[in-house]
Amino acid sequence: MRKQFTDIDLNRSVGNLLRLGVFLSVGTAIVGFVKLFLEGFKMPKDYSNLQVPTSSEKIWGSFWTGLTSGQGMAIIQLGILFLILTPLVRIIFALVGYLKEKDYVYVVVSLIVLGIMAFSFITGYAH
Amino acid sequence: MVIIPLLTLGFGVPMHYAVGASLISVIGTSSGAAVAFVKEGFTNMRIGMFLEIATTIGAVVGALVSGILNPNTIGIIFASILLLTVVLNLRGKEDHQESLVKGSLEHKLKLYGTFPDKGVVKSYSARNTIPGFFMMIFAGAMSGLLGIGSGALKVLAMDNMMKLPFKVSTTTSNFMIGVTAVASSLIYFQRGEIIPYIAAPVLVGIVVGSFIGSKTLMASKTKKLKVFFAIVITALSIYMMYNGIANNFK
Repeated sequence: MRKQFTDIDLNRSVGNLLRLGVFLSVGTAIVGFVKLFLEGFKMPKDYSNLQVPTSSEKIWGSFWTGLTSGQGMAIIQLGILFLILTPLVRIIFALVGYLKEKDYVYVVVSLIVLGIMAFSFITGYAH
Repeated sequence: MVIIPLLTLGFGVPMHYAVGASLISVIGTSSGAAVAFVKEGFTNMRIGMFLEIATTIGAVVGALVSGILNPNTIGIIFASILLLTVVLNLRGKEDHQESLVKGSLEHKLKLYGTFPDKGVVKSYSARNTIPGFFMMIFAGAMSGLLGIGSGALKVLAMDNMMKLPFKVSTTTSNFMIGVTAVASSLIYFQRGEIIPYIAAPVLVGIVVGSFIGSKTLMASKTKKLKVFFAIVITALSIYMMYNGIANNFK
């Protein structure tokens, strides 16, 4: 017989997920940073005039092309995106957990939080 | 909390890039530290999840407002919140433990729970959820605007207003910081304000540092450390306030 899914199970899986996310992110960022310097990158002396893409389309565009050609800059960004995704996946974990527990009030609460995240992503994209 | 003054005034990094880098490091420390607390059973995931509605709304607003504010204005707001944090941290704290009122909002939303205390399981319930919720919107907005965790403001809402036990409020607030920072970092990232080679060293340093810190700080005297930090942070906020007024931020 299957054991009932409880809050303790949920806590444990959320804990493991968070740890995995941080390790993965920091690891990827370090790899990307090493790669970036191997490409001959030097830290700028003046940070006030950086040539960085400012529209969301250009940011995602240069990220994808950079990633497919294995550029250090894009690998660091991938690490940062892993980190951003960790808490998001955590909410999805909790949502599934609440569904299993049949706690529908918190299914709705989790969905609202995810909805705000989606709103934030879209506002950021459309800016 | 010292990341932003260090990056802006120390390295001459523009305010918005510093906030972006700080937000990333905040996600890292929150997720890293939450692991232990979640497992120990102090974190109340339902209270956290419910209040995350408030903090994420605030965070989105804060991130959007940041886009239209002058760096010096942000610097002055940062200095003020820093001073407030010092005051809040130095003030003596009262530990609460309220019982559940049947049929109340807290009962319907299941904002109650138990936690282990010296081998005994103690139960508690939240109070004043509505004012607490509004305070959390403010805490989220400050997080999105300044790239900080606003842990002190979150604890203020959960301790003083919602009357949660100390262990529950600190761990749950830490648990929420990550999600809150994600809500605003989605905007910063797509605005091009999270610069990989600024954010990555800060992230790696903070995560490694907090890992070492969590092992060693336990042993040191916290009272003296608290006073030391209070002095450093006060000096820092006065310095930031001055630079903000003098229009020195980029």
